[in-house]
Amino acid sequence: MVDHRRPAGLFVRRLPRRDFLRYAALTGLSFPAVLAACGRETRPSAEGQGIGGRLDYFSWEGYDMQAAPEQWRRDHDVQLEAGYIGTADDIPARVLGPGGEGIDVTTYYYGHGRNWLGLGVLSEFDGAEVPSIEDLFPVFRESRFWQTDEGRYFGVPFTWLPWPLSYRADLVDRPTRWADLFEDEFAGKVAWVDDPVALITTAAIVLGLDPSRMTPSDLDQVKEWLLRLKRNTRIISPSYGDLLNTLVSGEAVAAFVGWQAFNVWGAEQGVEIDFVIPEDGYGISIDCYAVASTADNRPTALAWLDLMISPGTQRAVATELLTGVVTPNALDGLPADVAALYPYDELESFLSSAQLHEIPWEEGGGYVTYEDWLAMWKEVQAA
Amino acid sequence: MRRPILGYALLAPFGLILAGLLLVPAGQFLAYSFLSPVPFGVRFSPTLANYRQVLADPSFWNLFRNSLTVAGMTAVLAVPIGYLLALHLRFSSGRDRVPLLMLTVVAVLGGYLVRLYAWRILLGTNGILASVLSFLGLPVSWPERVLFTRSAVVIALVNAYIPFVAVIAYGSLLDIGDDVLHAARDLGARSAGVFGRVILPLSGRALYGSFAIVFLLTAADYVTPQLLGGAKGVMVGVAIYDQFVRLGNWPLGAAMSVVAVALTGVLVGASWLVLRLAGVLRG
Repeated sequence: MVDHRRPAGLFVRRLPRRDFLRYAALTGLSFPAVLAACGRETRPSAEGQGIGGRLDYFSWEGYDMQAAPEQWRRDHDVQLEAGYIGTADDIPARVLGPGGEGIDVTTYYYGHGRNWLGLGVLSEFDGAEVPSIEDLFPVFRESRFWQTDEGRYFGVPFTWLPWPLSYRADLVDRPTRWADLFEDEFAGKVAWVDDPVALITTAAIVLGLDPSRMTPSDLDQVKEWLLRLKRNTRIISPSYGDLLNTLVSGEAVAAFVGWQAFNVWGAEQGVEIDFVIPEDGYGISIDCYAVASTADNRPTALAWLDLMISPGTQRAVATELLTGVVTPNALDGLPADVAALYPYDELESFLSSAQLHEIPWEEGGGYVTYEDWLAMWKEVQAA
Repeated sequence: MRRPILGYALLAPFGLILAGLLLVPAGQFLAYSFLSPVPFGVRFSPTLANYRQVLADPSFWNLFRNSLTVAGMTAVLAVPIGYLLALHLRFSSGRDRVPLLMLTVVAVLGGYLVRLYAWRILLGTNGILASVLSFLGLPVSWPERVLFTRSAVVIALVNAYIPFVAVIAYGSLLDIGDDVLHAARDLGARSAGVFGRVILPLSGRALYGSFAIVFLLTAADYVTPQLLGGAKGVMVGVAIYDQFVRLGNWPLGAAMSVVAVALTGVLVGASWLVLRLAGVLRG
């Protein structure tokens, strides 16, 4: 008897219950094999070995310096496996969460250093294990941002830069202050990046506040400043990469905050992006290299840290990303225009005017904490 | 007696996978929401503080409201368009049915981020649409007004979910045999009557199901609003992400997720009940 309920044709075929059960059983039984095939490879421990083997990197794309240490990698037979982040917050989430095993080297924003050390993200080492520390600028040689109170290290400064105001030099006149972004010519043309540490720190400094010691009233001031600027803001990009895309496409003409490297990457895409260090205040970003607490190739990780602060690598990263160098030995041979970006002869005062500070994780003294920062940031996003 | 047991036995591996991939993670989330936080972990100390914090947080509710608005707008637009496509596939595509169906399915296979950036290019200030409008001598300002607004988010999500609706609706329309339609016509129904009194009621449950799927999936989306929604396009997923990734407060993030999922589910369920009581949905 013909079944008239279903028209004939392709994709119209009855599936008997027995066949369905059979297929379901086959799928279920084959699933463990599929999972095993997709599973994480096991790696031999490098404990007791010298420099060499696999080195797992997890941080910003570009900081792994694929080109500069290539000879070093060949000489020591090091295979660099890189994983990249979208924001700095990805690092503790990954290292402390599932899947963080085996990450050897990572980076951290200096203000998070002690917090991340306390959380168990970073591991300590002796200064003698990274000899190039002795060659750093005095202001970078010793600091609570990468040293414990006992003098051991948990990181080395790798790059630094003042958070700039990046802008499309071919589309707008050169702004000189963050306050210029409130003007009508920037209405609907400002782009933010979803980096509350950078934005809140910068806003606090512009308002004359100490970011590490803000009262709830101070935080409200910062919130109001951000909300005022948001009226001229078109997009809050989820990453610096997307922020660059926004500037390159012309959807925005100014970024709060930008990145000096945009000059280089914008030029590669045929677009003129420039930056200024605003007169009304700037924060400083110092990114530090560290050995992750999950490292299983510690000797190579420490050797990598030493390599990253060596003059050759510092010259390479400064030229590629327009960041500041941490060792005076890197100034020789640095392109003149790159060396002129930052006041190396007044380095200490330049850094101190940016009020280097730790991100306040712990409650105390009536000051707001990082959790309060993020709660305020959420309110600004939702407004 | 052997047959039911054999059936359950054959389904058991699949059921275990479903349980492992769906029920266990969901249960873990629910359990975490009642525990106390330690940075990037939990402490086994039950508490309701997380829920109290979520329920008292106005910015969470602002973001959640934005999520529901975008979800509602997307579902309301995607379902009729997808249904029209399904109707065409079932009743009037003829020999083009298979190629059209394949194109509909292939549209789903495109990369998620690729599609979002394609919309940025389409709607951008110097994008394709602006270029075409400029070429035609028409004002080019309106694409700029659409991009980085809620409208751009809705357009992109509607585009993404039309194939889902079409495939679901098409499956239900296939169950409506031609003999039923012939019988309706024989009894005097015209085209509008056949559609309104036969086709639509018989495919109503699938329509509602696709509405619910689109609504739920859209409410959970937070990447599309970040890339296309502009400064005001943030949805509740971002707040949940901050708790898990930035603050390492897993219990609070889990509580936010549970509240968002539960309320969204209640809304979907309540609408189902209303439509049933109103006689719109049958069966």
